[in-house]
Amino acid sequence: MNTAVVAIKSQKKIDFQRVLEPYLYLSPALIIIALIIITPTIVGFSYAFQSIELLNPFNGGWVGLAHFKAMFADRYFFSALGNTLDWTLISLFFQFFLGLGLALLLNRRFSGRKLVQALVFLPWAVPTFLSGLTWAWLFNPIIGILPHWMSSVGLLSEPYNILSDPQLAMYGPIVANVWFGIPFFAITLLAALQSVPSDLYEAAAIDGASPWQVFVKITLPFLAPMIAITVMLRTIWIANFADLIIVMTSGGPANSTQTLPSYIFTTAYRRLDFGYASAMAVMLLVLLLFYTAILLKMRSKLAKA
Amino acid sequence: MASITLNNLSKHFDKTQVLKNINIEMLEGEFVVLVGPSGCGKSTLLRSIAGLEQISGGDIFIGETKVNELAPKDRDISMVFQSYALYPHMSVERNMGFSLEVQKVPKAQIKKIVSEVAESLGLSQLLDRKPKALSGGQRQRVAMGRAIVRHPKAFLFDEPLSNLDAQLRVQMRLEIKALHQRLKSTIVYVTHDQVEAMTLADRIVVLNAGVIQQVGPPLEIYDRPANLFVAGFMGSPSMNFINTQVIMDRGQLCLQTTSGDKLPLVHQYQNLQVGMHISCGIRPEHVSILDSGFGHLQGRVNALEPTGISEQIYCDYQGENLCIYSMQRSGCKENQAIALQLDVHKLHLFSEQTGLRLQQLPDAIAEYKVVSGE
Repeated sequence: MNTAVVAIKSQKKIDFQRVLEPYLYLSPALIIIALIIITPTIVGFSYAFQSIELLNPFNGGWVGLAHFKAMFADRYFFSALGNTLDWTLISLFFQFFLGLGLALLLNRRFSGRKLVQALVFLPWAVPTFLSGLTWAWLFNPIIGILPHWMSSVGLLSEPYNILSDPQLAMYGPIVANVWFGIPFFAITLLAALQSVPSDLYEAAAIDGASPWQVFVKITLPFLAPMIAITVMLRTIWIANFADLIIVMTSGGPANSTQTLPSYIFTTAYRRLDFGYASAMAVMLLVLLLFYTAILLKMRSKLAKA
Repeated sequence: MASITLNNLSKHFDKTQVLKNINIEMLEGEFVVLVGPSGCGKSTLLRSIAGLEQISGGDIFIGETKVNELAPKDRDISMVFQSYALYPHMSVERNMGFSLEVQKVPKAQIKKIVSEVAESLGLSQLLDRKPKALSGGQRQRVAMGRAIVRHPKAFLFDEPLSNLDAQLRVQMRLEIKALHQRLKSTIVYVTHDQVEAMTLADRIVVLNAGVIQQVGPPLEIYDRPANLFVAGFMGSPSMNFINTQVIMDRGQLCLQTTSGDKLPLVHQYQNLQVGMHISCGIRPEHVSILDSGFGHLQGRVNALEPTGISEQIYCDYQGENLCIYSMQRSGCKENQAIALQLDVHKLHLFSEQTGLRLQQLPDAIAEYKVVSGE
């Protein structure tokens, strides 16, 4: 009887070891993830419910939902939200369709294709601050050529800097962003295009499909999963992407180019109000999670159909 | 249905010539098999007929129409690909009806045509499935169904059975044969498998290095191969070749092997001269092992391959590997010396110089006395 008890005990010990052992091997990775990703996220979340103003250091402590209430009363927040929507949707639209067009062109055979491919993908490799500065100069009528062209073709009444016009300023960073983001879509969609088996195109040619029918009925269905995932990724990236705006306009003139990320950046590092900035960041995160959930749902529905 | 005529067709990629002066006339309703080793240009030839490859010279006629410049879809042919090339995102039904869908045929009519064809191929239960949910044989059938739905002037098959396992291949071979008999359609069929070629074809076209070696009905190609290549390529196990020279022995023409054995010639052949170097071909089933005596040749057994129904014995003769195909079990052992008897009526003579067959003349004169090997 004694031996039976010992046997059960050692059996338990073995089970325990078997369950624990994998986590032991995983622990270095788990610890790093906890330190680098989870801890800052939790700290950031907690800031959203605290008053942390570097200019007002004694007025700290928990404030509950006060930041969120302030947010709903903040007209700059809503204008920034609207600008974020414009910025994201317009940039995404042009990046996607121009990128797709470029991918389709690059998928054809022509001499010097390798060189053209390399050149086309260059904008993606240029540091954003550099491209922001370059575009800001291009829009400057004193050193840039763009305002003169635009006035010559009648887009502008006279060559002036659109970055200083509250009505048009947003289009400056958007143009720069489109230029910067086309290669991403071109690269990923080109890879997807090249994965379509060529004998399907041959079968379609024999079946008598026109080029447009081939594109709609064969190419697009093959690209669809890649399109869904890249559009989702790009939406999140563009919505969070403040570099170009900060470099080109700093959210001005008169907040006309202020998007949520640039507003968060300004609030945190110019007004030094980390609490309010964190609250807005949490809000942005929630909105993007919501968007992602909808897109993933649509995608799984599409995949089933 | 229509005939297909190829006139002086040639094709080169950059500087490599892949097809040279191809002339074939395929009759209406004929089943033509293009056969040859890999890289011989047979697939290129098929794809040229389909319009998937530009030709460099010559003409292609489908029926009375010259189709050189026509796009694949205007040639009114359908093709079954080696990989099947089914559209993976479409159901079996849409795959089969795709050619009608793009022609904007009314949906109800497409459904009717597709279900008829599916019925005839036993696919009715599978119409809603996607290709990935089908077995290899079913995919093959869907690919054929897609070709049939169009009612084309001709069917082109590009090695359609090479992705199937052996058993399924035999079954599909029979189905394709039945399909041809039912539809009475013109079929051009590419394969490297000579059993498929022999069993399916009305006529076989043997290709090598982009040149037509021989065109003819299967048994004619088997019985009277035009040159050394066709003789060695068609038939499994393949024909044995022995290097010989023509001599006159006691008033009779004989072939003398390099080791001095003599094979009497019982027929007359065109252009045969004493002293000529001849590659003498004999099919494995026309060689037999003698229980006693010396036979024509003496060899030593290298290896035995019993298959149950038959036995293949490989033996060494003058450093050449000779194959013997026998329906009897010989009971030979490896390294055993054996005496071989050749059926001298079934010798194939090829000029060593040109590789061409020496045509046998009709037997006007009474047969020479058969001299067995001494």
